[in-house]
Amino acid sequence: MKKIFILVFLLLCSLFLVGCWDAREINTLFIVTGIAIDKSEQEGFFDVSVIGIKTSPSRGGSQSSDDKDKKIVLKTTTRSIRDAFFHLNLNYDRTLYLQHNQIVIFGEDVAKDDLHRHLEFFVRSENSRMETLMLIVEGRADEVFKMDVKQEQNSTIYLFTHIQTISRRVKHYKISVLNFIANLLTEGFHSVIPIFAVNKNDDDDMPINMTGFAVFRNNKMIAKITDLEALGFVLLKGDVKNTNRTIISYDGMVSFDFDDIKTKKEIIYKDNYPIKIKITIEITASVEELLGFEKYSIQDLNRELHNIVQQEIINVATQTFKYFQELKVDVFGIGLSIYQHHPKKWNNLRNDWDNIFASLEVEINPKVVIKDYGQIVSIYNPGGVK
Amino acid sequence: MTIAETKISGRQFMYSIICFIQASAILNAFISNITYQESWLVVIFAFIIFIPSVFMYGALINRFKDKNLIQIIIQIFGPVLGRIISVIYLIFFLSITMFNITDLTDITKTSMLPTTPYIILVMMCILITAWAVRSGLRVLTIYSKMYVFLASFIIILSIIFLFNVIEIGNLFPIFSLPLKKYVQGIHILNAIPFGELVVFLLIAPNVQMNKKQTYKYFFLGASIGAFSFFLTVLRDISVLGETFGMFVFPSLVAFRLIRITEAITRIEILFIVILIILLIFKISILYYVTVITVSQIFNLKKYKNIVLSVGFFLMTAAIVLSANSIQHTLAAQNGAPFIWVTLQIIFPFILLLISLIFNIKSPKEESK
Repeated sequence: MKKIFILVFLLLCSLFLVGCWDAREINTLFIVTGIAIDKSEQEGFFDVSVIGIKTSPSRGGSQSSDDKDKKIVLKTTTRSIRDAFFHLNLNYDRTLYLQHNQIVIFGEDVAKDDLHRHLEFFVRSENSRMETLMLIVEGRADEVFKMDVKQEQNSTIYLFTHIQTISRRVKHYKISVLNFIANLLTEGFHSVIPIFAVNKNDDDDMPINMTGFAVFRNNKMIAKITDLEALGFVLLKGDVKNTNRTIISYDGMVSFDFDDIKTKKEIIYKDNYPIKIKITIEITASVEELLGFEKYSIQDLNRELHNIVQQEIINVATQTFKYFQELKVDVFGIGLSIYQHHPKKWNNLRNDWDNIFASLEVEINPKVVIKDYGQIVSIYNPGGVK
Repeated sequence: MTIAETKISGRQFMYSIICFIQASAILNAFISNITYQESWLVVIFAFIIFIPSVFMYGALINRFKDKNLIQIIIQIFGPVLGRIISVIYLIFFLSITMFNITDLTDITKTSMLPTTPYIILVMMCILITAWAVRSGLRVLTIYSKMYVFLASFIIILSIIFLFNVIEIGNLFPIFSLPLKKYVQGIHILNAIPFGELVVFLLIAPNVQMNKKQTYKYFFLGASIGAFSFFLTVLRDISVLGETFGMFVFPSLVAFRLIRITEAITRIEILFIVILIILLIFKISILYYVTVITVSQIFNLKKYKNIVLSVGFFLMTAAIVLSANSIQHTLAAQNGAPFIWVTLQIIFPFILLLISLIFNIKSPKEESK
């Protein structure tokens, strides 16, 4: 009898206690995949746009033509992110569901103003996930949602996939909300976030390009690095799987792939005061394309290419380091390294670190091994290309 | 005489201790915003300082082989004063049970059921644990070994999966904080979770183990539990860096970062499930101990009759007195450890001292 009672009780439990309060039917949800935040024309207000995917019952067979229109963009202007979600939930038939948000995009104006105030919501909200990626867009962030992406369901899924792909080679391209907040809180360290530009040329199927990194001092974007500095930054940061560089010299042009970049930093002190930083950059390079250099024998070519690439690394890294010294932002974690390993020294340097960093002497020591010349051993120049 | 007749083995006792500490691993938020990235160091120091207490518990168990803590108090201080002191212990057991119920409901609400009313979650917790407590100590602890292996497996798996985001540099600098921060952190950890092991003094008479085994199993249980706790803190700091001190449940945030290709993501559910299992186990032990204390104070012959009444009281208290996460953490950081450590370490030490000075033993021990 007792067992039957327990069985009936359990059956009733399974009937009545199935989490009705937290029931979330897919047809009542607006699954957010991206959020864009821009400055509004109204002082103190922000334009918050969210993009989501239209959920519909699955069908067999191939994609129909209307699958292209699966994206939905909602927009509101409010003082805070929480207000924006409240407003959108109030005026839209579905509930915004943030758990699948892939990316938070900030317009350049917002980034230059104060990024921190917008991140508070993402850190505090139980519906938000800290691994959500962050990026800055030149101009307005909501331009990204207007992009026509052919490969993916909407532009944020495209961007997310793009960043995932490139970050497998260079991990510094991927900055999550957690990374950025941790960097903000870390002593002796400033952060960078990848910056993108929307391609407004309709004929181009590459709707957005990564143009470099936005450089932050605390919570404000203070500069943008592109091309050469971006490469220098990657070399100086190290811990990179693969990147590339084409070098044009007097004798020809050579494209290298740089693999397994490792960076070691040694700080030289004088009277407990850092005066110099020695940065050793270890690179395994491979020649991917080579034009010219006809006058060299294979043995001399190896030596020449070695010299070229070493010199290039010294130039790029030194130039980039000096650029950051001018900005007075230590994005390489030199201050962090002092803080972690010599906390007592750091106590005396902490308040003036930006100036001390700017005055450091830098020495770049590249250690390059050219391990691969592809599948040909001679110089390819059948037509005498100049 | 013990109220509960069932006996458990020494190994089950050891696994129960491990489970008990593992369940507290989520409570690292109590020290995270005091000792920040040096919390891993504080866990080591706190356990080293706690080791003598483990042997003190062992000595007390061995001296009063067939008596639990309440019976020892009543024997040493007499029926009136002994019962007054026991009531203080009862309030302490009720408080920690209630705090743990709040933890369980908080994590369930945060991670899975945000809109489910608090009362439903508390009620379900009380119903399940009441069932376990009524079934007796043997049933209650029978799966502890499985829980320990499951929890340890999840901790190791999470470290492997988070390997690509672990930054060893986040664990440094060391010894950069003011001394009082370390003292506060060690003090808190000696109260929560290590000092909470005092509840096992109420279970000890129901464990089949000799004198040597008492020390062995208590020490091994506490050490393995502390090592799990250490690994959890180490993982969370190295993954979260400076944000470690920000979150209510740092481990939950760390688990959310696991991403092994597109296929293995959002596996924090594994953590939540094992955490709920461990917390249910911990609450069951605390609930059982509370019920035993009530029975002992009122000299009841059977404890099973009062299980539901105590459960109802716990449910009401947990609902009425439930604090938000900030109040909860502040209470655990500032108020509770000072009162708790007195009952967890200082008072048992006084008991042992008195029993040694006046050569008080359980009748069974005296007859030997």
